[in-house]
Amino acid sequence: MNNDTKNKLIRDYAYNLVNQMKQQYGNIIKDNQIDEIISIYNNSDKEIKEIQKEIYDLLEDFIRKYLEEIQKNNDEITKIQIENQDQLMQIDQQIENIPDVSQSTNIKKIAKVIQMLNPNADIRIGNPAMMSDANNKIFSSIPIENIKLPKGFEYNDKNGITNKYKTGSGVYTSLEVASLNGVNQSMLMPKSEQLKSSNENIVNKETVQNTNQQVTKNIKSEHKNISKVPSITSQRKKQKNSKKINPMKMTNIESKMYPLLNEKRKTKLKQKTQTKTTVMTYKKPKNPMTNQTTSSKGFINLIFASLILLTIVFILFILNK
Amino acid sequence: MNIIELINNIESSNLEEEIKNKRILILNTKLKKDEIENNLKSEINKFIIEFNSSGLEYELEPNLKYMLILIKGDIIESNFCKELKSKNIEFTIDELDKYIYQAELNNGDNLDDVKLNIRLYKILDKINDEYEDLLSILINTINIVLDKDYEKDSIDDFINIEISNLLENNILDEVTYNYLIEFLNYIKSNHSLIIKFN
Repeated sequence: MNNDTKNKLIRDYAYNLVNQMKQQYGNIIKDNQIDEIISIYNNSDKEIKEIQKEIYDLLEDFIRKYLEEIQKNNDEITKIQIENQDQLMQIDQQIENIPDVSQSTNIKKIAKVIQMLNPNADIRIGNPAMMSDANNKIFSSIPIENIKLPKGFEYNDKNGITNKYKTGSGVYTSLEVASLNGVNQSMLMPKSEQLKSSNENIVNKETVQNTNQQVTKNIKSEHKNISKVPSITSQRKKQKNSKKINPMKMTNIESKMYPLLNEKRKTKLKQKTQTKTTVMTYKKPKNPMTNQTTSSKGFINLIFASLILLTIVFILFILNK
Repeated sequence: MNIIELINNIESSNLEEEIKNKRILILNTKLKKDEIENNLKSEINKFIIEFNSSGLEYELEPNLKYMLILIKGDIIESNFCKELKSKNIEFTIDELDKYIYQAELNNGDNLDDVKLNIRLYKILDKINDEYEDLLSILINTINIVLDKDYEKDSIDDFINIEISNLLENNILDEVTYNYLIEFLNYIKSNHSLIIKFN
């Protein structure tokens, strides 16, 4: 067998083998790499079968290393994916635990979320029983510039922390931010009170999975968490809300009462006018003889009598002397 | 000892959490009641000054609720509102302000009398709202403490016995018991008929 035939056979063998490999593993070997291998055996003295075996071993080794590399990369990718997944799960969990207050006007809920977003800060709200503007103000231990705000909220000098223009209903909240430094603790809601609602949520989640006995236990413990802050009834809240929206109309009772009250007012007004007139025209009766009022006459008489008495006393005094 | 000191004492006591919370709620309600009552007094004074300087010739109706109906009726029965009604236009008190502004601007109407009544109505309505809030707060506190669901009109004499039981069982002390009775009497006295312009 001449060298050319031998080289051709080796080349055909190598390419056949590589084509088979490509079918199984894809285009893992480039043509120049195959040519390089073939060139090693060009005009070789070795037997063709020996050369074929070496090429086979070489390619097999190449494939093994390739597969090992692939496996290694896959492991690395899997590891990264797992790590990322842990991180993603943590983020998801955080997002899940932080309630969405973007549409809320409830200062307690908003303050609670701000506290969750700013664990290094102390966020407090005022006690409505002690502070008339407690529902519009939050207190922070750090400056507003450093406070991370909940989704849907922004800060500006005019409205403070606000979700103005960002709520579906148009009803928004504006919270003034005040420094916590120097504020009397009795003016603030206790910290436990502020966070109580979040603890209750956790309790509520647990109760879903728990047994009836535990549910009863949780209900009892929740019952003990009576609010210390006075508030209006839910019925009154509804009444106030409907009043803002409902058009101005007289109720049945009002419709019946208005004419009566109006009549009463007219009668009183009439009486008042009459009384006024009488008072204005009233004059004390005059003495027809002197043409003076009796009272003024009496007064003059009194002065005269006093003068006469004084004169008598004076004369007696001089006579004694 | 003032109420704040009482609250602090209860907070730091060894009482059961439920008892503590009930007593503190009553004391906080008392603070709120006093605050609202003071506000009501000053708002009523503000209304009297506003009314006396308004030039209206009639006398104040001594009962606040009646006065509110009178002014509301005057507004609704005014020619301007009747005209709106004839056009099937409904309005809240704030919307009425806007309609008046437009009418004065566009037609040159003089609606000073309606505007005066609106101003008086708003002050009175605010007073009435604040008073209704106070009643609601007192009822809510009583309901929480007694674990009941009373409404303003459904409060009966049995409630006194229930409150006395709380004192006997040491859930309430003398101070909180007296305050709760005070709240109850305030509601039962139908105070709306007592708020009068002095």
